[in-house]
Amino acid sequence: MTALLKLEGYTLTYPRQTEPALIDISLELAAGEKLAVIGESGSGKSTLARAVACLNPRGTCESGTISWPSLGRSAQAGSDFGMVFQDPGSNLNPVLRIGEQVAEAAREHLDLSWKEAEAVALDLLKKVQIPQPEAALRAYPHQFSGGQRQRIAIAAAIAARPRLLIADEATSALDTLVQAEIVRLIETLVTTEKMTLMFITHDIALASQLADRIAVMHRGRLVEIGPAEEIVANPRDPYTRHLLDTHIDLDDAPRISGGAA
Amino acid sequence: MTPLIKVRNLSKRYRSHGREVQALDDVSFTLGERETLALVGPSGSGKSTLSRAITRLITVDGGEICFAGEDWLALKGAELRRKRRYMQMVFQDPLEALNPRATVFSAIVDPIRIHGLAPRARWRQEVSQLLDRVQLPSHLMDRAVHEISGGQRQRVALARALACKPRLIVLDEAVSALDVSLRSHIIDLMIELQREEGLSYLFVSHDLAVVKAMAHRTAVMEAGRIVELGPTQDVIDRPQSNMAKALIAAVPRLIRSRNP
Repeated sequence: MTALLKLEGYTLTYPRQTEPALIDISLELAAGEKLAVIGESGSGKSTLARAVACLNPRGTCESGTISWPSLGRSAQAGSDFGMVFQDPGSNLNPVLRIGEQVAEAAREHLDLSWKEAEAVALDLLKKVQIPQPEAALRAYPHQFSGGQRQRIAIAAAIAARPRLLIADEATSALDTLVQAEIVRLIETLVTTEKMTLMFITHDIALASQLADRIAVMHRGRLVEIGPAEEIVANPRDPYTRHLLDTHIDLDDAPRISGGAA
Repeated sequence: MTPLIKVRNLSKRYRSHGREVQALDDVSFTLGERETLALVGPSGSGKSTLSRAITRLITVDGGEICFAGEDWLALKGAELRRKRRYMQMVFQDPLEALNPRATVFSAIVDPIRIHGLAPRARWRQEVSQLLDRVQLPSHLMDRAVHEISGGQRQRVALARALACKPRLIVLDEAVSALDVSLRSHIIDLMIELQREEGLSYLFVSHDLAVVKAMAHRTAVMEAGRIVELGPTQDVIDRPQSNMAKALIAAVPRLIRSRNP
């Protein structure tokens, strides 16, 4: 099957930097697949997501290729991929009504009138389970909680029915309960809308729950990629093993002895 | 044994978007010496309000706090400032909590200077010892806070708290923003410091796996109330409240095999 997204020997150096932030990355993403990209801060996982989404700052030096084989052309933001970021605040324009922000992408890419696009936006808000979606269309971002803002950002990201949804630490700023809800929402949407998912996270446990495959990033390199259960059960790279060893799981024994002295 | 801190019927209400919010609703608990009590709950459940009320960063509407045998809420002015050092706080993001342009030395020496805990001639030596306590090399003291790594910064925040020779440290999501490998080390360090310095911790967190690693007892909060309180192991193994059950179910777990 033709891959949706393909990186070959992709290297990226930020402007005014001497060390590359991504080094010789090669990977393929099949349509319908859920890929988690994991790593610690500075590993390059967000840089990778931004490079795929054509968000490199001006003056970035690149070599190698990022291609979209099944499209046969370069990808367009909105209709080919949508992106959700970590901070629910910065995902949305604070002075634009929710309805406008969600409708904008649909209007732009699906060639709809504002009225039609607004109907699409209402539909999307229902899909991401925003309470009182009609009222929400006319509300502003600050009127919603962090979790709800993230739902709205997801609605805007998928408004033009992209093939790929890129979630860059999209649940990391949320508390555990809301994180679990948003992860469930993303899973459902990816299945029902037949999207491909690139899920960037520092949480290897979350990655193992959600993804078909896991890619492990370390200091700009892709050190290991494989089926999620294999990465967890039989990591080949020492860094992957290190991540698993230092992961604190609810099933681990306590590190303190008994009660207080 | 008398507890280090005893909180009775604490309540706090505030207005938000024209609505009355009961941020703390009749909250009572005790925390012993050398004990870690975890406060867990979703955003908005009142755990940060509670930790800010205890550290007297905000005022409460009612209730009592007895800290080290004293009526903590009655303390005022110079006496409060003098005794505040016994109760320190470490926040999630040390870059926000510390002056980024200050040197590590001045960040740590501030409380020593302000509370007059050591003569000027001994400051560098004190700071060096504190850095050693948090496993940082002493040459780091001349670096700026913004120049060092996130993990080092959180150790500096701990050293600054320790400089006050506190009896209680409130850890407000203190390891939540750290990378996994750093998080594990900082938890081990905090457990070691507790043992060696005889510290008590009030550990605010939404991460139950971390709570299980280091807290003796756990209080589960929901809508300003403590809905469950018990030994951490019991709360995790046999949760009674719906909130505790929901929090446990929401913890991401490593899936080792798709077909168990």
